[in-house]
Amino acid sequence: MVSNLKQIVEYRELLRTLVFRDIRARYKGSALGFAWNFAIPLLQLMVFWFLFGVILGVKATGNYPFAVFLFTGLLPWNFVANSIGVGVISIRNNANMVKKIFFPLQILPLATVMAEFIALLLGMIVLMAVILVFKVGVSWHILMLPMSFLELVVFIAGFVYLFACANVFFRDVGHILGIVVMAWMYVTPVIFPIKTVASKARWASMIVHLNPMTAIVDSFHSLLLDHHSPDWFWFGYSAVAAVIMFVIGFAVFNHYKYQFEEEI
Amino acid sequence: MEDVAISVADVVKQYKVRHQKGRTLKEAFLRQRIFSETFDALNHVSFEVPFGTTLGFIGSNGSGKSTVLKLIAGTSKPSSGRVRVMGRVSALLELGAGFHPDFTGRENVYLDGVIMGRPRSEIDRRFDDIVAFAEMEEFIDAPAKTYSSGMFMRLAFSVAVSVDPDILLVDEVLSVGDESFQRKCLSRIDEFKSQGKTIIFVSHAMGTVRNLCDRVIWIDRGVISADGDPNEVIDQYLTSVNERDRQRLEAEAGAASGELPGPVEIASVKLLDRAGEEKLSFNTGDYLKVQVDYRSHAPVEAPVARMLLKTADGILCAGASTEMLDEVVDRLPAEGTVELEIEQLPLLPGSYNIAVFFQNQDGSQVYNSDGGKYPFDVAAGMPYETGIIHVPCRWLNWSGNGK
Ligand SMILES: Nc1ncnc2c1ncn2[C@@H]1O[C@H](COP(=O)(O)OP(=O)(O)OP(=O)(O)O)[C@@H](O)[C@H]1O
Ligand SMILES: [Mg+2]
Repeated sequence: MVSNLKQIVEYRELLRTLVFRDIRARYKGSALGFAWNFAIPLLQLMVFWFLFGVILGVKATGNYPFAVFLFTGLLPWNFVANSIGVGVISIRNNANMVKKIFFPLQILPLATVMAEFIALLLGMIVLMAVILVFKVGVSWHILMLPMSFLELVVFIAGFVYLFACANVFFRDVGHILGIVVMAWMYVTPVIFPIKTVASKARWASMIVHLNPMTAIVDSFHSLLLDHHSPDWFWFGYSAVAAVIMFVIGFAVFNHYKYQFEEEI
Repeated sequence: MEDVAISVADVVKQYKVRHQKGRTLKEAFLRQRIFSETFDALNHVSFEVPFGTTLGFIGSNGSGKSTVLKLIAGTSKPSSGRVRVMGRVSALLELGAGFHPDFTGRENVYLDGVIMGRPRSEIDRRFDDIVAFAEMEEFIDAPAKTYSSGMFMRLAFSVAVSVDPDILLVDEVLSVGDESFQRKCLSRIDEFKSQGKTIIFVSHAMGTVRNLCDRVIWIDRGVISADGDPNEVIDQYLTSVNERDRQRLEAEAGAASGELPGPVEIASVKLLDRAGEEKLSFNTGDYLKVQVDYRSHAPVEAPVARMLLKTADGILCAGASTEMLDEVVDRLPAEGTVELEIEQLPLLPGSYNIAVFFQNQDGSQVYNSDGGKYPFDVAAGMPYETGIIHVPCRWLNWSGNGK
């Protein structure tokens, strides 16, 4: 485990190069190019604002429009969905490299997650602008945001490691995960505030709370919009889950990585 | 032990045999048992390579050469046994492995170099040399997807040799380069040799292997068949190829039973040196005797034997027939030998083959169906001569000093 982590540090130049390759490959050849990183979240926000604010007239839960709430949750969720979507197939997508060159394979899934993380950070810039425009206000709680990022990245990296490995041996893992991620979003407070599930059905509320992504995504809401600390119990629960997920995913990946070359 | 660059000890590499790669979950659950079938791509292979050696690997397709290189490069792990490599390895296992088609040549040079574990600063420093060596200045900012396979190879080779490895692995990639670039690569590899670096070279071009390598290993179906002096090992390999060829031809002749084999059958073709020893590799100017044993199953009237000497590319260099004997044989004996002697072989280095035919006088009918191609090599030639044929000649006038 430690030596496999050390290898990542040793090959950090490769990691950096691959992260930039992924980021640049994404919009290479398109007219807007890099600007898409900002344009996509903005367009999303406009759609939400139109749908929920103008057409449906959904009431805000705090002192900000529902569209802002949605946008705040969707940024981390887009990171989750895209990291899984691209990361899980990262070994197969780089079959040529895996077969022909020796380098620590654990770099590949991590590079895609990092690239998505940079996209998330760019989205955060848009979000900050939105927060200013809608006069949501900023408090010192924003300083705790790096903790949310850390939990998010560690959990998703572990998840991607586990299923990137599985996808080498079983091709349909990638397809199944597409559906799983969609269902997963509905048990995460992305399109609904966590308060609204509180009491109705106990088992449903249980599922939502036990989902490690819940506390992470909700912390974005509380830190950025509601200006209070996250629920420490559940936030700690997610932290533990993230570490466990990473340890398992990383260990499984490294255990099977020597077989990748023959399987793909 | 310190002078051993690579040591491969009793290595077995097993692959699972299956018809399609990557299972679906359903297949995995339903047919788990089938996958326990295995195939030994390498079977107890051991060898050591001292520093500074240039080692060649030869063998037929699928014999395990690339598998050995992958084990040395570290992209693949042995199923059992041990592989130890001392020093920095730079591997040219296949064209532009780290290349991304959407990126320019420039970006790919960096990508490729970094993947091989070199810091960007080092690539920065060598960038101009890399591009200059590849002669790719004009195209370096074009996307790699617009490159031809030769251009890919040029750039990949340049990166691989410029990162200053201790051990260089080259698997067949040179063959897509044009003549001039191949020569350039070979001379760069020669430079490496003189710097005392270790080189592992896989190729099907026997001439190149012969010229380049200090030692050759012949791998046959995952087992080392011969290991040692390049000329000897290559000869053994070619002999076995010829033997397999002959068996195949015989089997084909047997299978095509509807089609009558000719009345004359060639039992063996041997290439002999002056001492009467069988060889497959000669030097320019050597004595060469072609000895053909034949059998005749049906009476053949007034036959003529003809031998053709061609390059491996099929260019006819010379041909001779028994008509020059002025001695007409009325009827071929049931069994016999015909020999052709070349006092001084006039061919320059390359791969050649000999074809043998029994014909009627005007050449309209061929009696044997197995004239085949009997390959041989010319290894060392005449200094300062190029081409196919050695033409005895002399320079008379040079820089105005002649008369
Ligand atoms: N990933 C794999 N899965 C199953 N079998 C494999 C795999 N890789 C190689 N093999 C088998 O291992 C054997 C050796 O292959 P290898 O590529 O080493 O041959 P080679 O000597 O390099 O041949 P060539 O001259 O064609 O390059 C082949 O029979 C091949 O089918
Ligand atoms: Mg090969």
